Amino acid sequence: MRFLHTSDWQLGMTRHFLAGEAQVRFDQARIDVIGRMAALADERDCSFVVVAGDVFETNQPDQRTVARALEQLRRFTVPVYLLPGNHDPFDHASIFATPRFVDDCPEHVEVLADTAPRAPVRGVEVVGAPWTSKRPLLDLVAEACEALGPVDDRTRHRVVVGHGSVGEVSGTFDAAGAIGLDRVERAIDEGRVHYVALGDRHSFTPVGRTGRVGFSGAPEPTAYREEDPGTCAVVDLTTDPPTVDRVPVGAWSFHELVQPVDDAADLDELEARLDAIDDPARAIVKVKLEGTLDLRQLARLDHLLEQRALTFAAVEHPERHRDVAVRPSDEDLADLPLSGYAADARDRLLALATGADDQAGEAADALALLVRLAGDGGRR
Amino acid sequence: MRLHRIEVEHVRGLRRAAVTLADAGVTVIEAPNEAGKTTLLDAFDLLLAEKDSTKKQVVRDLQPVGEDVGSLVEAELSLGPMRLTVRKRFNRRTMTELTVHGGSGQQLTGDDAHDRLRELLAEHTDLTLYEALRLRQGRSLDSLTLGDSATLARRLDEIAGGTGDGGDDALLDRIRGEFERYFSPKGHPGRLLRDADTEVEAAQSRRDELADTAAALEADVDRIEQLDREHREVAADIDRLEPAVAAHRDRVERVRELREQVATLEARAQAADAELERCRRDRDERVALAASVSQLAQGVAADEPEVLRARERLGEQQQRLEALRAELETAERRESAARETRDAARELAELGRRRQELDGLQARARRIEQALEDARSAEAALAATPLSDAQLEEVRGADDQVRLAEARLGDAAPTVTVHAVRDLRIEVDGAEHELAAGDRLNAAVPETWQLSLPDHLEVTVRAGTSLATRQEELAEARQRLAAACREIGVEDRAQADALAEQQRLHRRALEERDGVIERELEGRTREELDESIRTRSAQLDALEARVSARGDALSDQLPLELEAADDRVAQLDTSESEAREVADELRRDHAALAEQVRQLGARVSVDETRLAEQQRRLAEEQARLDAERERQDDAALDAALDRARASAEEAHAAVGTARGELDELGADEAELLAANDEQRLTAAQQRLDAVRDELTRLRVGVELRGGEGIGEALQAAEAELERAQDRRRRLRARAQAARTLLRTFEEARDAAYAAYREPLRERIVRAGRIVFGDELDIELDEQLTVVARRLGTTRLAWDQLSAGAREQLAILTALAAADLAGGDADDGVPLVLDDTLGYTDPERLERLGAVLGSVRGPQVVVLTCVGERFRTIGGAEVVRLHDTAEA
Repeated sequence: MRFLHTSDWQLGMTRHFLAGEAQVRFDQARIDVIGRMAALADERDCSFVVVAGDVFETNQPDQRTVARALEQLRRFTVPVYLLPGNHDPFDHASIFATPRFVDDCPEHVEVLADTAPRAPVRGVEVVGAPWTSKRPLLDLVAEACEALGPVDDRTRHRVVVGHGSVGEVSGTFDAAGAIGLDRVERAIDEGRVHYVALGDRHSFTPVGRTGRVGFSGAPEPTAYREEDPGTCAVVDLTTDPPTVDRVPVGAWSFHELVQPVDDAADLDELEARLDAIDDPARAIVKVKLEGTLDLRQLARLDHLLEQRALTFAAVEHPERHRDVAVRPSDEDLADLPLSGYAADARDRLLALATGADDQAGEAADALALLVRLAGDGGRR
Repeated sequence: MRLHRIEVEHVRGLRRAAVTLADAGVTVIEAPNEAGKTTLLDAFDLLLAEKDSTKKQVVRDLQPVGEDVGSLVEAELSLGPMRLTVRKRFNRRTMTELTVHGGSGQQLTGDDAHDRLRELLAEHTDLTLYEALRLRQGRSLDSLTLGDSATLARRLDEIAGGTGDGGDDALLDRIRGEFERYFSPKGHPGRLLRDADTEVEAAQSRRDELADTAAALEADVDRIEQLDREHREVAADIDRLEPAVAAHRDRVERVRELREQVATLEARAQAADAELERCRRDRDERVALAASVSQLAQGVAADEPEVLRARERLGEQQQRLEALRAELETAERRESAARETRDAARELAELGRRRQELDGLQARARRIEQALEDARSAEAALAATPLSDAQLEEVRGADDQVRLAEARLGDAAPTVTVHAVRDLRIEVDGAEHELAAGDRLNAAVPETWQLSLPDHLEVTVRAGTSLATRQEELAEARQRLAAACREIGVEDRAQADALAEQQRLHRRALEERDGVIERELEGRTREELDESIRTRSAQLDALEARVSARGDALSDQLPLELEAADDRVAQLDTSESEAREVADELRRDHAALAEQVRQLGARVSVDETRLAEQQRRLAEEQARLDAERERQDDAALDAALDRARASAEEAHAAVGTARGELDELGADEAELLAANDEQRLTAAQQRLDAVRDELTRLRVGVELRGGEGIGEALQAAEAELERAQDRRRRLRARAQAARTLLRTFEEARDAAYAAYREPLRERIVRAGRIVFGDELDIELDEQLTVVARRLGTTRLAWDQLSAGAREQLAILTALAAADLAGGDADDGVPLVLDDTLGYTDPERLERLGAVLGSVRGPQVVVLTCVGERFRTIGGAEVVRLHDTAEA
């Protein structure tokens, strides 16, 4: 008896650092991965699928997003249970209640809009703890667990599907809809619940001491700070505790590179680190640089980042101007064989660029521009 | 570039000509006008610039007029380190040859030769400067523009400390180009920056719009949730309230019934209370009546003896009063008698005084009357016998004449004396005379005199005739007198005099009349006086009548001496006063006692009245009491009262019981709660309806908007905004870099220019001072153009300078530029002065000659048709141009 546990599809999510076609590909990737999970469910003989919240990034997604999601859901051959999460709560504006969703929703797909038990297969009971507003006043999962009576003879496995942060994992206990692990584990200990499939955390994370609580992770990553995204879980309920198999399904990756840049070697290293990233077309990189470069090195850095921006889905270097100081070197000056007033101007800019003045950044930019224009002129 | 030799064949008017130039310093090419000096240099220029195959008009113009021949131009020149010979034929049988001498050497023909020549020129010659340094006649008056010369700039830059690579301006152009990608030439944001702003604004506005919509949607969703909750709460309230309201209604009904019961019982109790009250009143009235009778009887018994005693006292006092009154009457009679006596005396005295006064007044009236009478008589007399002074005088005059005539007659006339012996009566001339014995009567006899003794004799005496005249005179006089007397009605003069005297008296009487009246009236009118007399006369009459009527003793004493009367009055006053005092005292005593008696009487009267009233009331009350008791006796009254009391108590007890039940039921509270709960129920139902309406409305709205994909669109808009901001940030950084770079470059260039122009200026001034004197200075602009000349403190702009000065300064500038650019280096260019200095006076010419003569490095070519102009140049090589073909 296996089922596929996934969550946090966040369909319709937009990332500002993704422009144009990159965003389109990113969107498509998160649609495509649903198909891969459908295949996986077949492959691993899963009896049903639970999506533990945040199927949609918002309760008001674009029509195309909904249509594509429903299209992909058709590819599942087993019952699929969608749980409303904090991004798509089952409130009065819920996407799950709109005609365009309801009318086109495949028969094997059901929204867990309440806590009534569902029976996808004989001997299994699926209970949802849906979000019905963006600010629940209760611990929905614990309340759902505690509301359950003992399982009857016919029910061998009871799976609770919930959404929210767990203080023991996130470190914050007062978030809206936070799940109290002790209450959940008490229900597990009492045999009333056999597995709690959670969503909200985008990284695959087993939770607690029972081996029966866990986050599946998002099937495609959505942010830099996710520890283990791009996964789903195949849970085998027949073992005790259940066997939870982490299955990577994501194609995209986020990378945050922190790199000191003080000399050519550092730039070499940065280049090497960038080159080491697989599938750059589906990689999103944020480069955090710190150090002091001369003009030529700065030009090389800028060139490198510009070049990689063409091959990567996105290369962010938001603080480059603030964190990379410019200190023109003798070699820079050798590259700028100016005379007369041009040399004079160059020297003034050098003095400004290396000073502590507010204008240092501007002066450095002006020098970099000078290097380019003088160089261009030379080449011409 | 240095020019060594030029040769031409079939160029314009020159069949063949050649000149060789000094490598440095001045070469003067001298030839007459139209001899082809300029042609030579023009041909050289075309040699350098044009391909042999060119069809340009300037080249075609080289062909001599009317000759279909090729024009050959050949020159030997140095470009940088290379010396070369160039040879071209234009228009016919065209050809180009280039020979590079020295080194590895090179010989090229055709376009290759031309191209190579251009290459070498570009590499080694500043053609801009070359063109600038060709001073032609006329053009030399313009200020030289040297700013475009790369060579000069390089040299100046070198001197100013630059490398002289000449790349700065090109770089600056590129920087400016970069700047102008972002800004207008004046520094306003350009299209890129504006577009970026527009893009951010649009993205911001799109994002804000979506955010507002999303927020509104979310607010609606929250509101729906809140309303849902409220709906549930209100419905629960209604469920709770409905049974409560029903229960309250039952309770209120029971309260209403009890209230009716209480009302009935209360009415009954009220009736019982009224009966009780009536019985109590009857009893109280009976008791009060009995008490009143008893009290009245007591009062009457107490008051009766008091009243009797008071009456007795009053009787006594009245007797005393009576006695006093008799005594008073006696005294008053005495007083009255004394007063009457005195008054009578006073009246008599008064009567005397009045009479005296009246007499006085009447005397006055009589005097007035007399005066008036006298006056009237006088007036009448005066009127009866009017006598004027003239008439009187006439009488007197006539009389005097009579007496004169008589005297005269008497003198002549006999006189008669009658002597009476005894008493007798005689008549003389008819007039009787009584004569006593012894009397004598003398008479003159004017004519006749007659004496008669009646019954005894008549004697007539006649005067003689001599007397006739006298007598006539006398008669005449008498006639006149008689006439005069007749006139005034008198007999004679005596009568006339008497009449006059009488009239005088009359007049006096008339005159005195008013004085008398005024004096007697004493300021009164006559009427007042008469009135006064009449009044007093009447008063006096009345007084006299009164006194007479009295007929007492006193009245007999009339009239009475006034003084004695007054004394008697005084005596009687005293008597009267004494009698009055006695009477007054008795009157006072009597009045006091009378008052006492009056008061006592009044009091007694009041007491008696009161007593009578009390007795009357007692009788009445007693009668009423008796009647009441007859109707219902006191015991019956008490019994009725007891019955009524018991009945009232019973009724009140019943009311109390009913009220107790009502209180127990909480009547007020029940109604209050019922009303309140009903109101709450109504309010809740209304609220429920309102909530339901709003929910429906909101749900429809949310359903409609929820389907629009706002959430995803908002995320996309936020991302787009962030990207637009990022793009703008980067663009602005680039723009700022370009701005900073340009500004820095321009500042540096401006600073450099000042230093950069200095060597040229300094050279021009140094040479110029030889020509213009030690005070010369000049100003150069950025284009290295002379814009002004200074001599001491006098500054003249270029256009203000004389043609000569402009020409001289142009030559000096060109010379300085040639010196700076080339000096003795290979890349200089020759300075060509083509027919210049036409405007220069001999002295300046000489000085300029000295300057030109001092030139060592640059090559200077002077073309002139006036050789003398340039004789002043020391060391100049002079070449005379002539057509060697002709020669």
